[in-house]
Amino acid sequence: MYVPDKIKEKEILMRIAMKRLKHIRFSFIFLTLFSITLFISCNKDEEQPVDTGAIKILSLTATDTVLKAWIDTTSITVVATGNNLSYEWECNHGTLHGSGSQVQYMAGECCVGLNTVTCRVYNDTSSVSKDINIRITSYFEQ
Amino acid sequence: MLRHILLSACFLLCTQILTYGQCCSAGNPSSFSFADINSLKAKTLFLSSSYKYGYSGKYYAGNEPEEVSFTAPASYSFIDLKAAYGITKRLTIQASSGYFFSKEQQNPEPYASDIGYGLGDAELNVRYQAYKSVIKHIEFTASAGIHLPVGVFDLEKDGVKLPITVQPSSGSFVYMGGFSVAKTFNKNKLKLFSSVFAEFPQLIDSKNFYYHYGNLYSLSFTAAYPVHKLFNPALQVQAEIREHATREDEQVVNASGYKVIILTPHIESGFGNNWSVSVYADLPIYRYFNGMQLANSYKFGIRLAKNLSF
Repeated sequence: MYVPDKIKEKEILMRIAMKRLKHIRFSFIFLTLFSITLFISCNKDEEQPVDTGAIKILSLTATDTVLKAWIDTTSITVVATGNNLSYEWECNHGTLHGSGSQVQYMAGECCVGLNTVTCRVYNDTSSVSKDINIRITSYFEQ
Repeated sequence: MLRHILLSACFLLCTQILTYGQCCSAGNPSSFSFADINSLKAKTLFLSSSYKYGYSGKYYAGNEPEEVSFTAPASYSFIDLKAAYGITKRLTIQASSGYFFSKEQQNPEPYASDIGYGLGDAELNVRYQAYKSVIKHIEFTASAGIHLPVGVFDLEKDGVKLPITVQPSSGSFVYMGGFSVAKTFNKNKLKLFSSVFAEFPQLIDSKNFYYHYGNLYSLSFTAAYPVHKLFNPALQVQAEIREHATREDEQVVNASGYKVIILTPHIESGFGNNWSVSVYADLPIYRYFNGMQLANSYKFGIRLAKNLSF
């Protein structure tokens, strides 16, 4: 059947336009997902209560303050006064296990040196922190 | 066909130039994702998603495995999304990000594993085709990129912050730059690539963490030889050097930095309308670690990709 050139051309153009539209839609979905990923990942820092004097850390102690990498562990205990206390632990190098007022600390060969463990004690109205230093010696040291 | 070879080798390079030592590693597993070595055609969009798994089971001191009295392997399971777009025939931009299903560091008995998960960092890079000769079948491409620390970096469990080794984000900006050459032989049948890249991590200086990963330098050679649309194999040899890290007061971290040589077989299959699926595996053939570090035992990845022309 004879089809005029103009109609053929229109059909081709239409097909190209549809193909492009499909690609644009596909790309749009992908880029939207990517943007959402980035947006979600930008977390805001949570506001923390300040020290109002309602909580006092009486002591922060470790059973050992010099440990051999990978071999030794130490128990770190915090004693604090205040109401409805919660505890948060953090270290600059190494690994902490446990929760509450006592945790265990250990570290690998990559953490050899003087490391800091920080304990934050807090409740709804107040927050106070204290550090303790733990030295990690090399696994190879005699 | 040439496109297939190019994309195959691009993927090969962008997926396995990875941080090799596991101890104290951080960030996305493909720190060199910008390393796709050739520019795309103008108005071409290349979309891909890759799943990667890595396992590290043995400690190395120097170039020998170290017998230790404990077991503490590490592993990761990661998926990424990547989009590259050819703005002009010479200039290509690329963006990527990913999600860690798990980033696990097991600990000696009786302690439980540390397991991190969540969104990883984002990466942006540009590639510029500096020279291309159709007669000599050769092209040179330069690239530069940045790694944005937008991922999760404050993951904790029961009020205890997890170590940085299992945090999904690297915690700092990383600048990257590289140069590559691609040469085709035998009527586009055999394609050889060579690339040199460097990564410059910036200081991590957060509230409770101060650490500077060492620079990373990489040299790779790749050969790709398409047999069939469904069977497009390639083989890469890559040498990688990571310098020592430093911590507070510029102390050098002795158990950081390494030199490795990795052999990577890779297969890509094309199907449908510009879709492709690829798989690869890493085979370390030489490893030298400073101090004692957990070394990668194996890695593999699979990627689904779609190429769109506007």
